[in-house]
Amino acid sequence: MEKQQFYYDNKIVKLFFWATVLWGVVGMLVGLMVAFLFLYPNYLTFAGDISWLSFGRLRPLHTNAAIFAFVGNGFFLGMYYSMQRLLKTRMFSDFLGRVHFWGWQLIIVLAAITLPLGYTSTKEYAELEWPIDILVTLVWVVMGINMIGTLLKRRQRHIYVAIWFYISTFVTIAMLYIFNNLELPVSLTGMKSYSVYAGVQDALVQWWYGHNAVAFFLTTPMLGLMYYFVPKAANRPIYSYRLSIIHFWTLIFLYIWAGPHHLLYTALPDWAQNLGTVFSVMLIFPSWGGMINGLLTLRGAWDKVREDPILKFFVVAITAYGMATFEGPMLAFKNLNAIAHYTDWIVGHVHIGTLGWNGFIIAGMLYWLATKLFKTPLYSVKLANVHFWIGTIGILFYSMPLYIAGFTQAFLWKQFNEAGVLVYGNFLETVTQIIPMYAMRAFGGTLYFTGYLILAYNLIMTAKQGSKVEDELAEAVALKPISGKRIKGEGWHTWLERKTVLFTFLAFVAVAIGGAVEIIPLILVKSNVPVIASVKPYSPLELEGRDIYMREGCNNCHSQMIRPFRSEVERYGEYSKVGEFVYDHPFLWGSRRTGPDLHRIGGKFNNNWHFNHMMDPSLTSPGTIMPRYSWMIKNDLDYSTIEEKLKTLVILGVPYSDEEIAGAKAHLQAQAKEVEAALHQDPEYVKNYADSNIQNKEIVALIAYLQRLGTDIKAK
Amino acid sequence: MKIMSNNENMSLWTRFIKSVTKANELGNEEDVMLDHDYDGIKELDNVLPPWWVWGFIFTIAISVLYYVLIHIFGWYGQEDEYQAELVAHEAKVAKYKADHPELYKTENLIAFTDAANLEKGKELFATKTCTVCHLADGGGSIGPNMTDDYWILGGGFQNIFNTIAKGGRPGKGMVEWESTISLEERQQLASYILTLRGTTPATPKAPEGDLWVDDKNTTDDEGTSEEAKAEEVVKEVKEESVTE
Repeated sequence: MEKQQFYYDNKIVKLFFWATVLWGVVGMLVGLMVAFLFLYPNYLTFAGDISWLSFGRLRPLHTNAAIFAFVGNGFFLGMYYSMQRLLKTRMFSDFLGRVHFWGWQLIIVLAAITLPLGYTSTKEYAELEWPIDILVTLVWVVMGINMIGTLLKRRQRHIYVAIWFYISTFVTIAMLYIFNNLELPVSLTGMKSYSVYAGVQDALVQWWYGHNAVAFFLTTPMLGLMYYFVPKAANRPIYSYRLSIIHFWTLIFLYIWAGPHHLLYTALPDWAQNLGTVFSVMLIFPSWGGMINGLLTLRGAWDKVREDPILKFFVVAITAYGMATFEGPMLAFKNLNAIAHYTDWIVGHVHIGTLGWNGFIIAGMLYWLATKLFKTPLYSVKLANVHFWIGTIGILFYSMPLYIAGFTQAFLWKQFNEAGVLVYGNFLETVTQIIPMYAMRAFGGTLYFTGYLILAYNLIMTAKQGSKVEDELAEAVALKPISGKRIKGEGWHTWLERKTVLFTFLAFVAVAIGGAVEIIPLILVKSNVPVIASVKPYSPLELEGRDIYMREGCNNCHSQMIRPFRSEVERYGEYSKVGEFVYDHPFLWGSRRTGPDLHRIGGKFNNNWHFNHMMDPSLTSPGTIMPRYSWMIKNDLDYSTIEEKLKTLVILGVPYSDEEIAGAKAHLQAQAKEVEAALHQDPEYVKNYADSNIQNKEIVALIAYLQRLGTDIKAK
Repeated sequence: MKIMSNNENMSLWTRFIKSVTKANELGNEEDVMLDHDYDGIKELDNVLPPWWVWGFIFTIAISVLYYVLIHIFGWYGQEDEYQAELVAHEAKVAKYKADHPELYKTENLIAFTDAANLEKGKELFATKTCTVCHLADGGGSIGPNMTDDYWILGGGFQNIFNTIAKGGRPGKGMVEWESTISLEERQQLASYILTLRGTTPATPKAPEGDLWVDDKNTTDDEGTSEEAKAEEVVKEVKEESVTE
């Protein structure tokens, strides 16, 4: 058969290459900035006047930048490079590739603008508001078309395991992203929307998504990269083809089910929680299948690992993957989860995965690709080694203190004296104890970031000394059509590897099952959410306050989910019931308690306390690390869309009557007056703010919301 | 098979490792090499490591068992766990109460008047963040003025002591401090607060609540006797804790 000549598109690879380097720097820098906020709560916001640099708005920017900008571009980089070579063809469409690249960068820039401005849906790693969600979906589909088009024009009969993982990433992220971001815009001209799900259903859908964003954005694409770049860099064969098959299918099938382990001891029904636990446990070996297939591929190449920094990065990355995927299932056991959940332990666990696994596999890949793309040895192998060591030490300094912090804080939260009284009844005392750990974490982060800057420098210098990136000439024989049926002696999976559309479909089926089995019954079966008659929708003012709470990202530090533990009931009040959240679009249960739980904060303090606390938390809580929110006292409350908001919620099933909607503004103003009037009991307030028109400011709405929280079942 | 040769010469550990990994020896890769070639990447077809297979089966078995025991045999429920914790906790506290009745008899407590305890009360007034709402001079801000004769929840030592312990009316801001401030500390605090009466704060908040008239006639001699009594109580409490 005649060989065909063609060119690999290296230009698109180069674009993703530099985007990965750039967003890595940005994402980690923002992470470092927020790490220092734990030590100096107001250093970025200048006495609380710059709202868009506050923790609640920057934390989502960090997570989104690290996940979607850095790891995302890293995945696309490796995929565009390896797919062409594994399939012996240029990508399906140069144009779609450019649309994918520039579209994705546009999304990142839009995220970097809108998140600090407070446009957020608050659902973790899915914070972007609806117009950007639509854009993400479109760009993702463009990528998918380009992937599948490339598969169809391939010159390699069978698809390699790396590509199986790319395919599963594409189909699963599409499914997760669309269903988790189903939201109803308040108006087509504004950014604001409400999640179509409420309360416990929203929580389950969110963590079905959130858990599997980890699985299918931070794990499967990286495994795909591992399967290409590790054997390439080590020049060794993959250890076991049959292990690839088994661990691929079991991994993608089982992963989806494990989402509920993020909601252990919450108001999520037991049957769903326990599914999260058992599927997490079953995930250990499929995950480790990837780890051992990666590490054992290095069998016979360990002498090279000593010399080659690229292989060192890969070894630590795969080891970190193995550690994190063992720790995860352990944390999914309820007794360990009772300690670790809501603490920094989880943050430490996550960063073993992100800094170790994602950061290092991408770093190794970047170094390796630099030599290929620029056709030159690395500018400095020594600097790459420095990066490796400083990064590794950075990971340890980042994570270890957080493990200690998490364990310490959980212990303090639960400690009773013999008289049955909480020893650390003031939440703040449990925070001030772990500040030194935060300092060490920031130090570890600084090391890791420094290592990454060294990488950026090294790669820029390598590019400078190398040659211009050019498309690479290649040749291969076109595929000869053969029977679609299994050929004699052909294994069924080998057969499937040449039926790419069927393969994609089966991968989708495998990932669709778990979510469907968990989510659909929770939405349809009424007995999952017992009705509480005294639970009523929020008043217009409270709703506006809730929107401010979301805008400021209060949920990044405060949970609204009291677990059924004696220590939490004693500290916060009656544990949270599933029926209390039926009007919460979206749910705001939170996942981390940097500050105390707020579900029963209503009625605990008076309005003046909240007023002073928002103006400067250290006035009411000396030593606090909560930043100031003084702009809430300066900003006028914008309630111009309150009727539209209520109407939107009515469509989603919240029972506001037509009269309530018509009278929303009047009701809101009246309640605002009441809240403000109550503030007058403090002479300090009267002296300083009586003439400041506070009843029209945002603070009033926030106070109304906070005072409402958790009170519906208190009245009994 | 070459792997199994020389078996006698291998240590027990090596043999164990061989049996759980079944890894092909490095020199014999051709035996398991597939004819795959993906951009130069070759694939071996080593058997699944037995330790991995058994581990996987084990986790599946554990998971099925866990779920069946919980949901078919009803071995565990989140609500049951909480109720059991409550019962255990309450039993423990009840026993402690029974063993230390003096710590719970608050009705006979009286104000300290000695300098040391009042000084401690003043210190607690700041460190326990009372000053946040009532201001350092007691003039009141978020919370009421403590220097006048008007009290929302009743004046006098016993009422103040109780308010510190149990908090105020819902939504009005006074927190239940029972869980963070010990009995003796609350006694010191309430005693100190009594001494604020009649002082002149910088910005006194307008009176709130009702005028409080102390029924007790606090003459000088009774004052000393009250002081003595108070000290006695503290002594008792301290002795108790020492014997503990």
